[in-house]
Amino acid sequence: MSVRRRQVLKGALSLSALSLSFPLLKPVTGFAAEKATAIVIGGGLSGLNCALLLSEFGIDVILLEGADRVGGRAHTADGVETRPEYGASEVGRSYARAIDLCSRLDVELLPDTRSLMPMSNYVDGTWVRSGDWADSPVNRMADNERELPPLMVGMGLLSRLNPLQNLDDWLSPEFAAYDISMRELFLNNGVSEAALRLAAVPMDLRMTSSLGMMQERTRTLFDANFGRTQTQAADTPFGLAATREEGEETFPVRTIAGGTSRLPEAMAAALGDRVRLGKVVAGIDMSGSDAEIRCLDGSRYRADFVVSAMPFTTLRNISVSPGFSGRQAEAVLTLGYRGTTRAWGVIEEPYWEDDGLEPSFFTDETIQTVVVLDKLTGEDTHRCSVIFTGPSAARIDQMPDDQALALIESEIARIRPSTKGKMRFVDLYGWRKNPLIQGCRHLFGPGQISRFAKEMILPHHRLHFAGEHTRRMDFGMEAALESGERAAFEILQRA
Amino acid sequence: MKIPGRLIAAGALCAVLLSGTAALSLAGQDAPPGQDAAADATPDPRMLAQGKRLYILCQACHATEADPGDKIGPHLAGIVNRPVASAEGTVYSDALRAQDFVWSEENLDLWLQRPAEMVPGTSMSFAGLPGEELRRALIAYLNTL
Ligand SMILES: Cc1cc2nc3c(=O)[nH]c(=O)nc-3n(C[C@H](O)[C@H](O)[C@H](O)COP(=O)(O)OP(=O)(O)OC[C@H]3O[C@@H](n4cnc5c(N)ncnc54)[C@H](O)[C@@H]3O)c2cc1C
Ligand code: HEC
Repeated sequence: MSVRRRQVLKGALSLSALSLSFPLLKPVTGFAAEKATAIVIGGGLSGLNCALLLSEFGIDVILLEGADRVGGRAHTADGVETRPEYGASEVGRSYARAIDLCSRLDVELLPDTRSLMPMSNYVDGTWVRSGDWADSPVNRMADNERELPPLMVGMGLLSRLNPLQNLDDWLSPEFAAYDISMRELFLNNGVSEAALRLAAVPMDLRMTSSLGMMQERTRTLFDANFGRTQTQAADTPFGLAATREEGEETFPVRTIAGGTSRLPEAMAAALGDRVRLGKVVAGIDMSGSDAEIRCLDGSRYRADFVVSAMPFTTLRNISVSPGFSGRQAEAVLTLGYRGTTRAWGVIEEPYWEDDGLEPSFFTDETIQTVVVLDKLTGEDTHRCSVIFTGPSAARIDQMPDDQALALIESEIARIRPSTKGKMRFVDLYGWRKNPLIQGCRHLFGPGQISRFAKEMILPHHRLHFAGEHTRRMDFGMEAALESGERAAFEILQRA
Repeated sequence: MKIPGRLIAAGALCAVLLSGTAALSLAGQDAPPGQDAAADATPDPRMLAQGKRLYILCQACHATEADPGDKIGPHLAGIVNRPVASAEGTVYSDALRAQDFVWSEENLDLWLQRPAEMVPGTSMSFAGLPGEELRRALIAYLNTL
């Protein structure tokens, strides 16, 4: 630490202490504020990476996490049968930071051997096997759309229209014309009404910026091609491309041994007592000569720099002074978020042997998607999960969890009677219901990228921004880590 | 680290805080003036220290020792004047392998401005480091590897 800088800051402190600020916010009684050079709010992967990097560069840092665990959207349900991953699980081959952290912290990465069993479709009340879909009378899409499996219609059509080459092209004004809703983009390009209807099952086409999704497709393709000589298409229903080229040794996608939570836990362990759990931040006051962070429980912290590594859904609830203004305020208040809700279960008997349909299925009704996984080596039952995203998640989230699970079971049995008594559910988790996160991911609305994607991450006084929603080049967990690194970099330039 | 650069940085911080614009960006971060002697054989220790801090932007992908370990990019030991795409144990992109040059300081400067501009199709996902002084400091540090 620079002694002179300290002196300069001290001088400034005593000056402003005289003039002073916000007597009303001063606690009548309370804890003495603990001090650090930097305070990171949020103990997900973004906040943890930021805090780790800062401390590695000799900056004294404290991390405040509101929940009783670190990891945020990296959350392994330890103790639940089949140990579901509530959040992230796939580590891409080009996830530089995730791979490096695992290596440094002795967290093992394993090839992702999970594979989806084939998917039938229940559309307009009729069952169609995957191989019959393209020529089925139920499929009323246009000729050049018919080949797309129902679940893949939206992303498939978007990929065809995606002009982005570089990972940061989405921020270039050159592509601003794509910052329109997916519905508008599809209408402009003559997509059929039938395709629009199917595409709207897993995602809200009106509320989603095409440009934001294109960035993800570009990043996914980049991952699929990373370190390979051959280019290949990569459209998979969820996340990264789990394909393997013939003769290829390494799997493109890996998972964390023992569950995704092991990575944030190892990061927190490396930070030791710098991590404080159960600290829900309520206010950030930067009107004085440093920043004062106030938690709901009355505890206070002071720091030269603050990092918001929480989603905008909760930053919105924090009183920040001086307040945000202009486009940054608009971003904090209005950035879109979307939900994902999943239920996990085991298959007691292979019901597909009874009805001749494929194990996994998509429906255009309440149940959006049921995926059945191939048996893992050494296991004698198949696992399944029911996945609700976007609008279908918003609908199922309207019910308490136990009712939602009961409804899922009865709905599945209604449309596919062969499953009756053969599927057993063990757990359900909806990200919109997590009060400290309130969504599974950010989702730029139409026009939002052009309005504030650049401005929203600029430091606000002593406050810097991290979190997956502040990514520039990346995707998923790697986006969170990338953002934490950027915030640490910004602070290192100032500290 | 009691160096005038730090004081200037602190001053700049105050200015940012007072003006309330906080327009801190990569581009806005210019090193303190008076570093025109960068081409000297022995670089300014202050610049080296700055370069070392800037390496936070590279550390996840590049080892500084001649062994890439699990990092996804090539190691950068001896990178200055090393032939392009020549490190052992790295799977380079076709685009980079098709190049034929050495990593002179000029080439490094061009690369760090925007890798995808210099070598379209490269697999280095790095947007670029705007600010000539910053690149100079980083390259000074790379020179010590
Ligand atoms: C269902 C699902 C599947 C996913 N699958 C993948 C995948 O396979 N691969 C992949 O790479 N990525 C995946 N992701 C994305 C990945 O999980 C996220 O991008 C990443 O974990 C986000 O990290 P973060 O630090 O930005 O946010 P978070 O992990 O949400 O961290 C924010 C933290 O801030 C805390 N917080 C919020 N408000 C406050 C407050 N007021 N005071 C104190 N603390 C507060 C929260 O409790 C939380 O811990 C998935 C996400 C979900 C939801
Ligand atoms: C996200 C990972 C990532 C980051 C961050 C990154 N690089 Fe790279 N870098 C790579 C990859 C991957 C390659 C190989 C590129 C190719 O094959 O096209 C590479 C290649 C290079 C090369 C060419 C090496 C050779 O052997 O020809 C140099 C020089 C380089 N990087 C320097 C840097 C510096 C300096 C930084 C920090 C400012 C940096 N990189 C940041 C991933 C990264």
